Amino acid sequence: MIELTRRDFIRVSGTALAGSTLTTMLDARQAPAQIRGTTLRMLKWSHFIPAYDQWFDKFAKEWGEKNGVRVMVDHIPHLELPARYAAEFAAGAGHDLIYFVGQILTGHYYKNLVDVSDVASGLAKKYGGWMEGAKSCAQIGGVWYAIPDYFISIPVLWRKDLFDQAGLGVPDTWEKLRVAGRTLKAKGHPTGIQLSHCNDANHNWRAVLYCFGARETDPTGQQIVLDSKETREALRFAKALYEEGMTPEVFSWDDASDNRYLASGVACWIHDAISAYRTTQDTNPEVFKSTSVLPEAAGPGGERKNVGEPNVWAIWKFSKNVPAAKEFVEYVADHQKDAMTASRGYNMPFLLGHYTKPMPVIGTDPKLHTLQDIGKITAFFGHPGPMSPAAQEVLTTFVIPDMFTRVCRGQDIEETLNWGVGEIRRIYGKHKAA
Amino acid sequence: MARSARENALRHHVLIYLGLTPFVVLAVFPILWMAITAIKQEADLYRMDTIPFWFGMPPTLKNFALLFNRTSYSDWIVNTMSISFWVSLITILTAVPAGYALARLKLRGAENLGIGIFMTYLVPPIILFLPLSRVVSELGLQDRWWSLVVVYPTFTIPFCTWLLMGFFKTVPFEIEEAARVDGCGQLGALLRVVLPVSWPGLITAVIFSFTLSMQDFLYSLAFISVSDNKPVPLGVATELIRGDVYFWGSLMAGALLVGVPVAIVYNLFLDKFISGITGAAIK
Repeated sequence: MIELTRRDFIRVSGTALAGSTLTTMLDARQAPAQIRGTTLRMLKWSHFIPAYDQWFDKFAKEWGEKNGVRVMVDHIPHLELPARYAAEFAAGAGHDLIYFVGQILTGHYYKNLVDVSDVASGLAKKYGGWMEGAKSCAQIGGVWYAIPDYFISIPVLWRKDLFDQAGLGVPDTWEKLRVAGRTLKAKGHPTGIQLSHCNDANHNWRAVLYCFGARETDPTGQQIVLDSKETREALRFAKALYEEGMTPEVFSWDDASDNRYLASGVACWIHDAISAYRTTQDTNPEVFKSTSVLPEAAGPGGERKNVGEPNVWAIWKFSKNVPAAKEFVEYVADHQKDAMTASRGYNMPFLLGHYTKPMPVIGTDPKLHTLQDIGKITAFFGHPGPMSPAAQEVLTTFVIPDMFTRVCRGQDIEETLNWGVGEIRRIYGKHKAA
Repeated sequence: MARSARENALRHHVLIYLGLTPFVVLAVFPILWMAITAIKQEADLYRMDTIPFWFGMPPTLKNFALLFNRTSYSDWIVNTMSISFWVSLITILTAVPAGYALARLKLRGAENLGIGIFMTYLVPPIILFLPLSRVVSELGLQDRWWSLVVVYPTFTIPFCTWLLMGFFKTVPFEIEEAARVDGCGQLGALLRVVLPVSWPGLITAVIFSFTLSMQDFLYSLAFISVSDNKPVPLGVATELIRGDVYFWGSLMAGALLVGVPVAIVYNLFLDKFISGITGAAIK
């Protein structure tokens, strides 16, 4: 039995009392009176876990009830958000609080977005700062025009049973993934990465590019540095990976195709968000049991760069309720752990303070626990430069996936590189001139 | 001899049906695939050891249950039908006088004006939705399905005016002149004589405006984000596609429930529709 002295008792109970009081105070944190009686409308994407959206809608409604704000949350698929924003921008009316995912339009609309630097710096102070890359999707010229909410990681999902049967070890390098593709394709289990115009193609081939040490621009985002030995190596590798381990169907794949490839039991590995892992859990429990997760494979120089998908909040300048929008975004950040639980470990935080282990869901899942450190190797498109409108246009015109596609279809590497670098220079030049 | 004639007729029919079979298969296969997927279990969709055109696991109604219990599907149907009804009504009320005037009143430049009106139908919505956003916002209709009742006639009226112009030209002038001799005014002749003989054309215009309203995606996406106010095409696509996860069974169920009744109604008026289309085409 542990014996407590009177001093110990006072210290322990005092700490507990202070802790619980602080928790209660934080929980009961009241928004300013000026937002009472107002309405807050927000637009988000339809999260791949319906239960997460249900949780979020309830969470937002409860916040509204507590603060006397009528909250309305709308959801549409991420690919449709830009069209809706274009309509709202043209009309000068719409949702108060909006959400960028897939296409990060902070740089595009920043002149029409509210400066939220006060919220960003407040959150940074409270949670020990933002992870690297947060600024690139939310800051323009040092000013925060958006608040990063979470990012989606894109790890390697591989079939341990098939790898074991073939005597293959953990595929912790891209070279091992290539060998696995070649070995297991012969046994009826090829691999696949989209060689088409879809979001996943942008993430996955950028991951290959970055892991091989290649970059699109320098850190300032001004100089195009894609024409490099590393890019050539990455393209050469992709051609081998495609020819040895994939089938031509990848040319027609969309974002959901690799999910189906894994869930059907065909794929030996894919490189995708854990939505594919969760879908398999629900649709093919047998395959799920033998599916393992690896944060990222290393390139020839040992570099690992996982290209994540950021999700950020922004507030239109024409919003009728800026104070409530700011309050709500801050409240969401305070409840990041709940969001992570509701999303079954999908929503990875940007705020460093939320990386305390064990993290919700992934911290206790033996297959997912390595994702707790994925923030350290996460980069976003445009890396190491900012997600400028030019970088965004390079993304949405699929220049990088098209380069890989051309090479996999048999086009000469030098010719492809000239084309790709030319396209990127043209896009950056156009934006610079504008 | 008679037997030989029967055999010839039979052979003739067999050849016709053989020739039609590939087209029927092509036309019906997507519907069949849709129906099968709608009642397949989610796990069955991913099985590689069964024939994909049939069931590897027992059929289920879960996809329909998800549609009705966890989305606003019933509201979407009501919205779609309401929007299509109002748009069709506005279209007919506008396109009939416009088509009649351009086809029969011998106005100077009517032909070119008709072509001009039709050309506006060819302007893609991707260009129009931005300026129309402003209109919708100024009218205070954002996120209400009434916004689509205002917007859809921008493409249904030009098309139906052009269609009815062609149809009204096929109605003999003598009938109308006879009505005028019997004491009808211009409006009376239109209502009592021209319209009753033009009803295949009217049915065609209604079918077109109804189905064009049901098919739109971009305008509804741009103007409506509130779940309860969405029409079916927007609702199923925005709430049953989540990131890279597609709820295939419910998507197919949603499309089937709206598509099949419309196809049946369409078939009820098929003869009139064909005569309406061909009537408009020959002038």
